[in-house]
Amino acid sequence: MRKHLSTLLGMLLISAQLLAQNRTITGKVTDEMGNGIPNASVLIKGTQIGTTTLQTGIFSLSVPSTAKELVISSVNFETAEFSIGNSGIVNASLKSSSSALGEVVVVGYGTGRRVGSTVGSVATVNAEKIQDRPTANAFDALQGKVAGLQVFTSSGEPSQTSSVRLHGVGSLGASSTPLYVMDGIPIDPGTVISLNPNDFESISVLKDASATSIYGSRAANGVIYITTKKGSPNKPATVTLQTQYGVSNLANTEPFETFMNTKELTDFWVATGYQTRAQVDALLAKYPNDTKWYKHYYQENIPLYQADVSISGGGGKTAYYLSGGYLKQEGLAYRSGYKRYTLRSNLSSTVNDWLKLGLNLFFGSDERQTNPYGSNSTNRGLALLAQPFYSPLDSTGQEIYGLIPGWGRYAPKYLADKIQGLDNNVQFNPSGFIQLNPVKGLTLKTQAGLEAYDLRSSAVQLPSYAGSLNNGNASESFTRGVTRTITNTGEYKFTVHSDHNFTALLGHEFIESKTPAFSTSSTGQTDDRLILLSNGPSNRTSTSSNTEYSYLSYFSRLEYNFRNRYFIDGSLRQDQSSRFGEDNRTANFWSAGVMWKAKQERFFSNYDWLNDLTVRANTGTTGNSSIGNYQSLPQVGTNTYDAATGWNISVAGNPLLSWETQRTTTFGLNFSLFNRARVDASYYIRKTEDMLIAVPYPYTSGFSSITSNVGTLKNSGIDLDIEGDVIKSKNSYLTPYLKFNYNKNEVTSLFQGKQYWIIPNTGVSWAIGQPVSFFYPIFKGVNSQTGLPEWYLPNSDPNKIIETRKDPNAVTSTFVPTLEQNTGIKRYPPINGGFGLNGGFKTFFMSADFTFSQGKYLINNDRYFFENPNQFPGFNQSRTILNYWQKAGDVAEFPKYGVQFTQFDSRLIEDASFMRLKALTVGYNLSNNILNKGKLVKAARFYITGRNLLTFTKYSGPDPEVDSNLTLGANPNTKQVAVGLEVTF
Amino acid sequence: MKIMRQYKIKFLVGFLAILVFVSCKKHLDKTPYNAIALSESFQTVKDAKTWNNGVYSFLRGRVYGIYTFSTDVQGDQLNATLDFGNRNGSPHRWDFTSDDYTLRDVWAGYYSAINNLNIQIAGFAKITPASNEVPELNRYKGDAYLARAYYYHQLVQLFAKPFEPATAASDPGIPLVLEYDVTALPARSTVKQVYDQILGDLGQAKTLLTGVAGAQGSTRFTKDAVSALEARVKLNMKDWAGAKAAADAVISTGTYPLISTQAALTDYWAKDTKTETILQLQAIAPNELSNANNIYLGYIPTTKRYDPDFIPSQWVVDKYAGTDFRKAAYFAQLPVTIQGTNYDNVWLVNKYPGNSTLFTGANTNYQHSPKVFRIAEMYLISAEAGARLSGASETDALAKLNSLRIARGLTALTGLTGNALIDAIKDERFRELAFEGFRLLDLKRWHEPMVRHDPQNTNMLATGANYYTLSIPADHPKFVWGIPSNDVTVNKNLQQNSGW
Repeated sequence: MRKHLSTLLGMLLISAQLLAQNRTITGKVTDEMGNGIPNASVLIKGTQIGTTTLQTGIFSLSVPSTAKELVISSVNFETAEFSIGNSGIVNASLKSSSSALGEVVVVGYGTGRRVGSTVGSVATVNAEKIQDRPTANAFDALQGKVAGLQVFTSSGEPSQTSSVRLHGVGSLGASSTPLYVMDGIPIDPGTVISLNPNDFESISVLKDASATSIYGSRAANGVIYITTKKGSPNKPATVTLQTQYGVSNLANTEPFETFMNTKELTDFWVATGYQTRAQVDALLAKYPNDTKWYKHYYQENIPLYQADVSISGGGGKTAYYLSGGYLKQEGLAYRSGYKRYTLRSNLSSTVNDWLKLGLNLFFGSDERQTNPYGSNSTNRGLALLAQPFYSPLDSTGQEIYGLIPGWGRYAPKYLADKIQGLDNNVQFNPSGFIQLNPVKGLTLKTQAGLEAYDLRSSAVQLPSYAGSLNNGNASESFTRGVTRTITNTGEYKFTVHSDHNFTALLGHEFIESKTPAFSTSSTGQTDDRLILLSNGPSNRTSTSSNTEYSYLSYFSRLEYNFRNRYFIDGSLRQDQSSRFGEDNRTANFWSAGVMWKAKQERFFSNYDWLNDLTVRANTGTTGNSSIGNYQSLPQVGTNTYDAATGWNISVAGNPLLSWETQRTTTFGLNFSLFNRARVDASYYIRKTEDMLIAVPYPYTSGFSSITSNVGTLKNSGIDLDIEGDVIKSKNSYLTPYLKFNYNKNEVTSLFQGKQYWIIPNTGVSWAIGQPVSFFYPIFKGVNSQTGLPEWYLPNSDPNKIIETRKDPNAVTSTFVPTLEQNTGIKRYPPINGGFGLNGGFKTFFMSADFTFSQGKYLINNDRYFFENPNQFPGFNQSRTILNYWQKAGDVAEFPKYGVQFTQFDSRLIEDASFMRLKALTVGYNLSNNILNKGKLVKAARFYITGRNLLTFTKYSGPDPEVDSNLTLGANPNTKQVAVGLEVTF
Repeated sequence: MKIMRQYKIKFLVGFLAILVFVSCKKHLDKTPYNAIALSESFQTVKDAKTWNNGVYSFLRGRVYGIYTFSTDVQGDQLNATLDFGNRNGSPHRWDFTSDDYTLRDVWAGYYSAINNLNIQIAGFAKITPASNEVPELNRYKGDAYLARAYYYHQLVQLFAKPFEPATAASDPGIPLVLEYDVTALPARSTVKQVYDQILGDLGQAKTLLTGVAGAQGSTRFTKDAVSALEARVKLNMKDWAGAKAAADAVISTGTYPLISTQAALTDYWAKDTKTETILQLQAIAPNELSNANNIYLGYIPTTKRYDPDFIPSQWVVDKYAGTDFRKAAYFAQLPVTIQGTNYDNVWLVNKYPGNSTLFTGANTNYQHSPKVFRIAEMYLISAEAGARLSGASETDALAKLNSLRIARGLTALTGLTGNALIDAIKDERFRELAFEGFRLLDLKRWHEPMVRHDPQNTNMLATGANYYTLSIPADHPKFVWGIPSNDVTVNKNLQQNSGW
């Protein structure tokens, strides 16, 4: 304290010397609870003269005698004006700002608290990184933005959602997807695509036990919390118009260029004796073309357009945010696209000093089409098998609309026109709350929310489709998903002896979900103009289904801090899930954490270069029940014979089924230096127990697997988040950042006494003491004398195939599945992250965001088709196969002709590590001088943005980002270039 | 007073909020809508009837498709075309391994059905029928035993060595699962034990179904179906007398006369007429369809040409005399487009062209009511078993053979005995039962090699050592299918077949 006083005194003296004619005012800026707010901005109204508060909230400022009012602002708080009295002392209390929720951390229920005042680790991505992206999928922008959060977008379908994992794969059997919560109500991960990212104020990722345990059930994989924008009371209406236009192209065409041209393919045929020269000549006389087929299966420069309007503000006690959005994006493959309309209304009203109400309404309607010809379909996924001498063009150069001669497949546009599929999803997410403050510090809140969608899937095959002429078909299916959540919380904040701050929370939550569905179809439509279900007289079918689940939870949390310096918190939660049998339904979860804001200690106060130093540690448990419904009950399902119902055993059932649990322990450290560099580092250990795994059973049991609680898994790693202000001046700024995660994954126990389990036909293995790894036959090479492929023989003891054996003297040329052994290649990439920079100069701004994944591997199943001329004779192949063994002494990539070139072995496991320029934006803010002449426009900015503009990878297939063990016929990721304009009135 | 009122309102609103804390306990008991609890499924004879209907639904899903054509694809009668797209490629090339999907699906399909039967056999015992319900319940019990015998016989034919009286007691068979217990890790029984179990189940079925008379095209088990399976099983066991007796029992009923005109035989296959059928499974479009034998034609509607996966070898077509009604019923010379090249008058297998009453679209879906047992097989079993027995039985064997030959438009053979007779019967079996899944299993039990030769125009065909020139010796281990790798891995008691 003495130090502060001397500083203060010093400042006073300097001020007095320089500004003798001015007077000095002092004061303290505090929050509603009287705690000092550091680094708050104190400005003389109408000027640039000002200062910032000290750690304690105290400030001192020399002001001209004409100054009447101070404008005081700080992140997390509402900006307020205070008049300068004669006393020269201005003590200002700022209200927490609801509009600046990006800076408020939501650690599950309760009223939320400021960044830095929670024990739990929460990373927040703010609106500017999420909005204006040329994609419908908000989470695509999260890639590389949060240390420890791995986000992959697995295809170029405009309606593709991202797969998200926090700190590695959390479960071998149940889902590893985090719990998604929007404004306090859990939502389905699939809902994100239906939302308008421009409505998002922020997306927060709750990482450690102190942050997630309060969510107990389903929080084992972390929590992603979406906060939508809100208005501010007493602010004039702000109208924002945004519009964007862009085009999409394939992110990477290189893999498609590796296919043989006509000459290469036919020469190969002749050289191998597959065809004689005469046969080839006859063929080429008939089909004298050289086609690059990918250019006909994927279109170029496909448009995307989006526009939004929002109005936010507040009058009196009410704040509002209203928005409408429109987005349309087409895919590069035919019959692939996404169109979305959204409406949002967020209202809140502080009725009086003890009652607050709020209502958020979201309504969206979208239309989705996804190209159906993936996997091993030769209508796109494997269309590159098409021989280059055939052509999709007729003799006049027109695109053929129908069957492509020779190739024997219909033109992709023809198929898209004749066989149509469209999904229409209508999304409704209302939520409302009533909040009471009967006495100071006590907040009672009841929140109810609904997540509802109606998904209608329509499919039609036109009667004019030549593959089934005058016999069309139509089908409609309809699914309604309704999940209702009711949450009641009571929170009491109080302070004892001014130094001991407590927050206690008690709550209850009930979630119930129902998903009824039905579908119906008919065939026999004969006229393209009459293609309703009722126009099809034949094969009329109908089916229906219904599933339900529910959760009932009680929870509590106690937080304590001493002088905002030492923090302790703990939580307890009980959950019950309908997915488990009555006796195994209940689980209890807990957490405990401590935090020390060391910089507040006197002994650190001498180090001016150190602005912040915080150390935290916490541990706790969470649960996972992300498996299908009703799996605990042995069930008899129905079938049909002779127009009557029959029965068969349909679900083996496991009455002992219960919660998967996880224990997470995290140690964290964050500090900032020289007011320029900010570092947040943490180390975590996640241990998953009683995993919900579909345990393999012999088929002789009647089932291939039965879900059981078995095995343990460990993930440990570090998160590193570094940000620096390289340039920070009045005119310009440049802030590079790095987000980095290293995750080590290890299976620690399995089931049935097994040392390892290879999931059949996936190449993926769980082995004790190993990360989830690829177990595959290891290819040694082609024997240069015999021309035969050779694989290493694994250890003959099946229990020892975990130890890789690459003995050059123990090889075989006979391919059998028992050649599988540990390849030492990890299934999940251990290193993920992103880096980039944000910069500005005067009215220009720019940002570049790279994302990377290192140690990512993928089985490239495409190559099984593209590098296998004996298995797929007559089809086009990759040029790589020309390197095949022909005579003794040849060192070749592929064996002699006649032997299977490619097997499912280690050759197909490719390094799919990649780095992508996820976002690049350059823009210009129209200067105030120009705008002020119009008086109407408050702000305007213009920008050019790109997505996936650069991809760096060694992977040979079309898309390294596919998040799977194996990829086949992927519809690859696309890149966009878009221009946008935003005007604020 | 004003303050008082405010507190009242606060209290009221707070109370309302607490009201939402409803007890939700009952909302946690969720049961499925599309299934019932296993424990509630054996209460009445009506329950048994529903279970019994499931037996047939399952059986329909376990005949035709891969259950029928996998061994034919592996055998010597078919060649892969250039457009076969590697569908069924690994059995055809004999390079399949124990993680092959065909092996897995057939194995898993049969065992899932067997487990349903085990559940029924145990569950039916818990039902107390009224006295007038006893025959009905007995029929359901008999069906369960017969179906189990059928599945075990299919399994043992595919996954074990053929029954040799000298070694059957030591040759590894397949695991016998007779009770529903998902935790069981059964070891392989011997071939003899498996056949003994099949005979035991057949015995139960024979007793329980004794009152169920056969009928042409029956879609449910009858006592004739029991005999038909018994004949097939005993032929495999080299129980010649038993096989002949069982086959003759069906023939002598006279219920199933042999078809003896071209038109009727063509309709029998194209339109599923019932004359020769002891058991076929009901198919109703569009919801009750079976697996399809859809590898032989590949009809292209736009060009009205064909693009098959597999076509018969020329020598196979040539095995049928010009007068043989089967030549036109089983084959057709059709225009083909393969890899964009047209070929005309190519012989294609036309035994399963698709029954137009089962079409679900403008074109064929290759759907039929699957034939499980038909009378021609009984003639061939009787003849083969008779020929193996000496003396008078040989005469009867030749008579049975000639009955079939004459019905099919051929002339009677005379004076054949011994090996010449047996060879003639084998040839007839080749012709009559082609593409019904018998050929490879016949080669296996006769210990004959699998030799592909004399294909049609090789420009249409997939080339390479493992295709139309493939020759497999009689003792090749892959005549015995490998146990699916999943079961060998998960069940430590299970021994893999050699060569896999």
